[in-house]
Amino acid sequence: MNMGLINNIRGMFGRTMVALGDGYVPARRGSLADELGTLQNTMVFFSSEYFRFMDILSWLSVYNRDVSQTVKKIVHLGNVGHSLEFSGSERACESAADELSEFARLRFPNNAGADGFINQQFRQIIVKGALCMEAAPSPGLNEISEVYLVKNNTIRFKWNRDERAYKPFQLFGVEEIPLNEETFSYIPLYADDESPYAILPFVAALRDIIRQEKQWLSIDEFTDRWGILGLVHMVFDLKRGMSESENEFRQRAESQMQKRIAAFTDKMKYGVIGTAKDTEIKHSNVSKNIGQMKEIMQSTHQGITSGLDIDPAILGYTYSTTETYAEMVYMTLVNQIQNIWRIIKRGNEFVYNRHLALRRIPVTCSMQSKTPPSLSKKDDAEAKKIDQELVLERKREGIISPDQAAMELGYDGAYNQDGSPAGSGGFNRLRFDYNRERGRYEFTRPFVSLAKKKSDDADYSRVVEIEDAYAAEFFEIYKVKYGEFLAGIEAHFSSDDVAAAIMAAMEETMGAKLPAAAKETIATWTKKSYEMGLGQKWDDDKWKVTDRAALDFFKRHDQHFFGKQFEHYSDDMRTVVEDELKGISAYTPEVKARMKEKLGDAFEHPYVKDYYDLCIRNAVNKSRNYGRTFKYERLGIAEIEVVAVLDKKTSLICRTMNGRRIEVKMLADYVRETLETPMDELTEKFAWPTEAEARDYAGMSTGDIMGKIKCKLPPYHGRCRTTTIISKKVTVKKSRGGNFSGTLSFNNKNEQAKKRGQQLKNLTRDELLGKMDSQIRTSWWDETVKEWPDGTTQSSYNYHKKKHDRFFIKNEGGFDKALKNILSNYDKVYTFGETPEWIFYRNDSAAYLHISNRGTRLTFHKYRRFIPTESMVEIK
Amino acid sequence: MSTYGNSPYDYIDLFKDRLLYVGKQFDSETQQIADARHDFNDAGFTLIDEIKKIDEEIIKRAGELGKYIHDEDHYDDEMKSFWAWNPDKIAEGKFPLEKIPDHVRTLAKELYY
Repeated sequence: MNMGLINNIRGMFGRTMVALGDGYVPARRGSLADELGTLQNTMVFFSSEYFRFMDILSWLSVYNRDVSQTVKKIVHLGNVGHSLEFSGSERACESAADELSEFARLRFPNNAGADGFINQQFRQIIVKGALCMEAAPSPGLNEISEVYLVKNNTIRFKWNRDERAYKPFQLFGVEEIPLNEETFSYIPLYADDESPYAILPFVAALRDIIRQEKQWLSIDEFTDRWGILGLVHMVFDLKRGMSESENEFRQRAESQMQKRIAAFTDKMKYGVIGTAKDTEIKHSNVSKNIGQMKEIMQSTHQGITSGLDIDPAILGYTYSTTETYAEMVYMTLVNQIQNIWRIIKRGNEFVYNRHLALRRIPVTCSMQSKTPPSLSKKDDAEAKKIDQELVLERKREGIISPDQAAMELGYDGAYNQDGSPAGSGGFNRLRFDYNRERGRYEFTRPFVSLAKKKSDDADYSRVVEIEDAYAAEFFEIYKVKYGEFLAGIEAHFSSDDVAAAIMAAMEETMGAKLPAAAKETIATWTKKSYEMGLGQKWDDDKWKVTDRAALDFFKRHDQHFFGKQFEHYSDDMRTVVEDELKGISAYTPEVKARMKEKLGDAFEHPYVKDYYDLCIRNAVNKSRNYGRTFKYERLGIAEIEVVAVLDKKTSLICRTMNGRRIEVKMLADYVRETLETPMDELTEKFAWPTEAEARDYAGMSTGDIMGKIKCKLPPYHGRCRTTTIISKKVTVKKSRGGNFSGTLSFNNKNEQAKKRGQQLKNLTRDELLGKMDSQIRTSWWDETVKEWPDGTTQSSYNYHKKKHDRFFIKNEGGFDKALKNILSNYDKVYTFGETPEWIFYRNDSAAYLHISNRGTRLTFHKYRRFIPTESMVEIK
Repeated sequence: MSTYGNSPYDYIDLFKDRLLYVGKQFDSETQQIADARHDFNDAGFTLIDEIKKIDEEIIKRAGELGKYIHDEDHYDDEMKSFWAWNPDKIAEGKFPLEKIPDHVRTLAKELYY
């Protein structure tokens, strides 16, 4: 923490501050100053008219239709949403986002939230000409506890001769209180070069507003006098009676006239008037057209809108407005609004960065506005498309770098070759959008990988690159010493998770000791992968399997993981899960002893132990998969692949979901939704799928499954081992050359083939090929020892090896080697049956491998002329 | 061209084994009888007595083998015309006799034609 900042806030080091309490005085809210009255004659550069005008304009912004509408239009078009961009380490950025989400929700007046506060800021700047706000720190100076707007007409500036600068004061009754510039902001939109006060933006409209007021007053008087319908001329015949004197006749005429006018006025509202024969009614229209009134009124109105600096067209007045003109006017207004936004941006960045500094979060934050709505979206989209094509073309030709191209496309940068964001220098720049409905900041991706879509081979993803490079270097060293050994284990490594596969194989065959020759390499690469949050760390001559994303996720959201039975032991359980995520087993004697101590003898009860095991496994798996989803989202990974461990214990749902590709954005939203759901509702709202549901899902597309399934991410059931990896384009090479295309071939007239074909058609190309390839790569021999037709009792592998080995010896080097070869590459794949079985075929060795739905290898032998039957579906 | 690439005796062992476990092994393993017999022919091996005996057994058990080895409209031309791939048709007396090897033609005719 910067002590200078704290001292400045405290008002030390020669700053002139009024001592009140601990010496720090924030600006008062406007209401207090208003109640006590304001003094307007003691300040420098002060005009009493200025503050009167400010009050008048403030009143007009509510009661004058043009001013009111202008203010509302600018606020509406100006506050279209915003985002925050953080610079700092990834973890610090996340903390900052959490902190400011909380801040945005609670620290603004009247629970307005950041969004409502920005509306108020817009209004203040438009009407009063300056953003005038105070960010009050807490007494302990460890946060900004409150942010509010200060009434502009209570602010005065004085010239400080020593500092040669204007200093702000606030009128508080008869007092002038100096304000702390570390927490108080007065940012004018426009100001005269000789005055610190903001120019009132609408002041130029005041004369015309007053003129218009007078004009309408005249019209009102005229209307009152003559009636809005015009002038009614009534003629009636009245003759003087024989014995009637002149005076009597006049009196009678006067009385008759009054009666008839009264009768007319009374009946006029019904729209029908009946008169005697002797009465005639004539009507003459009276309108504002009389005496060029219309032109005068229009001229006055245009004077007002000119003074308000807004075109009449924006306010809905159509004085000769064309569509093109309206678009131009709109664009001009949007540009003017951007000017106001910059003031708000400065003010709020000032507050947010102060808060982060006081909270000791080493992150710098900047605020961006969303783009205001366009009047010509189609034209904009077409222009954008052309722009994008030109940018990508220039990138393809090598005229600009990927990073430059990414920036021109509106991102902050592209991924570098080593997977890190360009120009980050070990720091991230993460963008969080303000979700106006949820009232908090949510992550959005500022970086883009331009190479990812261009080619499947180059620059595939940051993670895979690191793992590939790591694996390459690892094998380089190890091949020298352990060539034979590696040849044996290399075939088991899937390219998706090389590091983990190496770990597992090494642990299995060599224990925890790794040869010193590779220590440096492993340390370098694992450090890098660890920094990326990938999980493995080499430290103290031991692998530390710390899944950081999972750990972070668990630490934040652990309340979701434990059931009622263990709620009183959640602290202990949390430690166990955290240890498990760090690679410390939950089943060591020490851990067991600790849990037994806490839980007592109950821990020995099979039910409790079983449930403990279930809770731990579920928490660990859920943390890994859910935490990983946010990591994928941050890395800009578009899609993940579900990977199940396929063996005899694999559930139907995991088998069905294996190989499915799911959009990360959708999953991240799902995880956020689960986190917002109260614990008591979790089980019902995100229930694990039933067996019946799992059977239904088998023939559905992933999109359809996602539309139905309540639990979108593993674990899908208790003790679920299914996980997720980054999805990539699947390429399956054939042993004779070329790749599988992922197209299906089957006889539509055969019902069985048609049914199986329809199931597979619901998969995307990558899902199909991924499922197909994982079917063979994860296939296994059932090790159950059983009696075979020849009377022997042995495992399936031993029986089939004995039965078929001889015919693989001459050309393929035996059963095992032929099997290994087909597991690596094959040429033909067929699948068939209700509970689908698979046949993999390799041309050069005529090797035929039959695999069950559960992944067991049923038989493996030579079959030269194998031709699929009509009920089979071929994947080409 | 043969792909099994073994000696005639290896083939004979294979035939004996597969014939022994018909109905107790995977269908594809029973189909190996036809596949290996076709391959044996392609390899140009001499029809030694052991093979002749195997062929006789195939003819005798044509009905049984036909349950596992038959054309579901998926055979290629070579398989359609090679006798060992069509035990079901032999058992029905519908497979052309002239395509059945000389040493088992009489037996087939006696049993099914």
